[in-house]
Amino acid sequence: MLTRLIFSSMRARALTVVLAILTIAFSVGLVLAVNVVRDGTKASFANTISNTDLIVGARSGSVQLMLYTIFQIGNPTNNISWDSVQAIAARPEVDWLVPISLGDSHGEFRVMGTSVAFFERYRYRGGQSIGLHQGAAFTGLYHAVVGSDVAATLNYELGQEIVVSHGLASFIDHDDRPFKITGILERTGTPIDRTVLISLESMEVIHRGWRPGAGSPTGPEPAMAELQPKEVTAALVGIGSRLDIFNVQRWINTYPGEPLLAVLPGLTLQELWQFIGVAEDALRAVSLMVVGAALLGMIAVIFSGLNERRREMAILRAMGARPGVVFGLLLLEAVIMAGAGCLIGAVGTYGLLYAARPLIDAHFGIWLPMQGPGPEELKLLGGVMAAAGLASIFPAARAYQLSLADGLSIKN
Amino acid sequence: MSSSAPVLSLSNVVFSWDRHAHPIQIPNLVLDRGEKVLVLGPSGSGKSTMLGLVYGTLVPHSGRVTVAGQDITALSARRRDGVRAEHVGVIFQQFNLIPHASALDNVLLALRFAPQRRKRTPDPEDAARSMLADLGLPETDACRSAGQLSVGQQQRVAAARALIGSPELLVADEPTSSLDRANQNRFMDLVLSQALQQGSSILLVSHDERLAKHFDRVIEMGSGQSEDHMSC
Repeated sequence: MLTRLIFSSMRARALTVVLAILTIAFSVGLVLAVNVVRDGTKASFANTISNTDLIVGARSGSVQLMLYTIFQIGNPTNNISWDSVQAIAARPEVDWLVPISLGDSHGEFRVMGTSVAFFERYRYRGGQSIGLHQGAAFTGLYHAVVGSDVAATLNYELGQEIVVSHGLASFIDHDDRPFKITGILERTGTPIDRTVLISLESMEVIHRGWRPGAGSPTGPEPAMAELQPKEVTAALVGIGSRLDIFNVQRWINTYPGEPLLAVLPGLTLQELWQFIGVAEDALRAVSLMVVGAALLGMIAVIFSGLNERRREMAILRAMGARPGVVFGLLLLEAVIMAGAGCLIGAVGTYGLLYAARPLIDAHFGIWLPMQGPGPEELKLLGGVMAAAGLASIFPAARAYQLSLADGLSIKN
Repeated sequence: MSSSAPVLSLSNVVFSWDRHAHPIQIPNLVLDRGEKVLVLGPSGSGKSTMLGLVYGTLVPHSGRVTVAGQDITALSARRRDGVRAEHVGVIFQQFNLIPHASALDNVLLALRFAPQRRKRTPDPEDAARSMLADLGLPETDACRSAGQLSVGQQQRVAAARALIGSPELLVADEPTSSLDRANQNRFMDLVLSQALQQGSSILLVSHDERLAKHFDRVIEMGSGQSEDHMSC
């Protein structure tokens, strides 16, 4: 009967109760959404590259090297010579090496010159290889394979001819050497989606003898074998045995030929995440503040309801209800409200994010993990309920402070 | 509780709302089992204050109030709540029903925290329904929430709540003030016959001396205090 009393009381104050529940639902939802997106971002970020043991480039900062080779942010400070690349590839510990050459662009997208081995060696999301959605990898000169974002944004189809621009954000096109799209990649959620891939030889041929304005020299096309690049931007390196990684890294970092830098992708990703982690903490702080505000709102609702309920509390006392019962009723009510808010917030948020998952992946390249509330989320939900219960003690104590005679003589 | 002890006794009770007001004094008031007493007095004569002392929402400055043999002035507020719930049925002037709860739940609430009254009522819901029916509340209205009932119906619910479980003492504060004459009489008759049937004593407070005919004994309260109350 007492629980019936709680519910009929809440029904009598339906509007304020619903508002309080929605306030909690929204703020809990917000925090959960922030957490899911954060986890998704972190996972996507950490999953950008895997199975590569070392990234080698010109000596600069490790984070910078990572940014321009993998995330295509910023510009390489310097190239590394092809001799150095070959010297590294010749090391017995080195299992494979994929050179990368950057610098040109296609519209808003970057062009990456690399070897065919890239398709096999580049891995993301725990060892997943990039697959071709349509067509095949490049086999010859003037062949291009485009990432899914490139194809989707520019409406590209197989066989279409595209022109590569010299440099980034440039108006100078290599328009005398159009490329043919031979393949479109599957969506990976990595920067590869926003990349046009061509062979190193193609990269070399459009630049050899090329001068802005004058274009490329005319004459017969050189043979593939002659198109050995003199330098590349970076190289992805796979080491046969994990134990050798640090040896090779040290060897590269002290390479006498030129200043080189080899970094461990996982370590550098972590380092990079620490920068982003500041924003993450700020985001979390904001969402916790939102929860705090919602809790204050709930206390306000319970408290404002208290005046109209002074009589109810007094009647309960007059009927012999002990203080514990009165406290219990208010506590239960607060916890029911908070529980309903948490439930609506959690179900709503997870449902919405689940439904929007393909959309978020398509637009932001973030695949939300969606494994339901983890320990952190459960802690948050429990915390909200506990705080609500704690908050209800205040009005309950106040209800008891008001004298019984006072509560019983309220005029209708 | 021995059956010979008076249901209610007030002795040498002094109470005042603040230091300057003239205190209300009740030297001696005893109600025996089954006795029906009417307290008459104009408004402001301290009748309601006296009832407050009886059902323990007010505590006297000195003197003793015993209910069913227990000195409630010596008890904690919490124990006093318990004694009242167990032994005293109250019909408040403003009824004090929980408006959003059904008439039936309002009546049943009187048993919820009063184990002895509950023990005397083997089937509470059935008893509450028949009590409401006996007091003239139609069966169909028992499940409506109290706030939706008319004043007259609310009064019947309040009476049923006070009477259920046969408490030793029924206390009522101007219970008929909102009724017309014909309904007043009918209501008083119903309440009195119910109380008589279950052996409850009655202490009723009113300014309406026409009610006197229903009672064994009438106590007049002077109006002297009220004038002092009004001086600033």
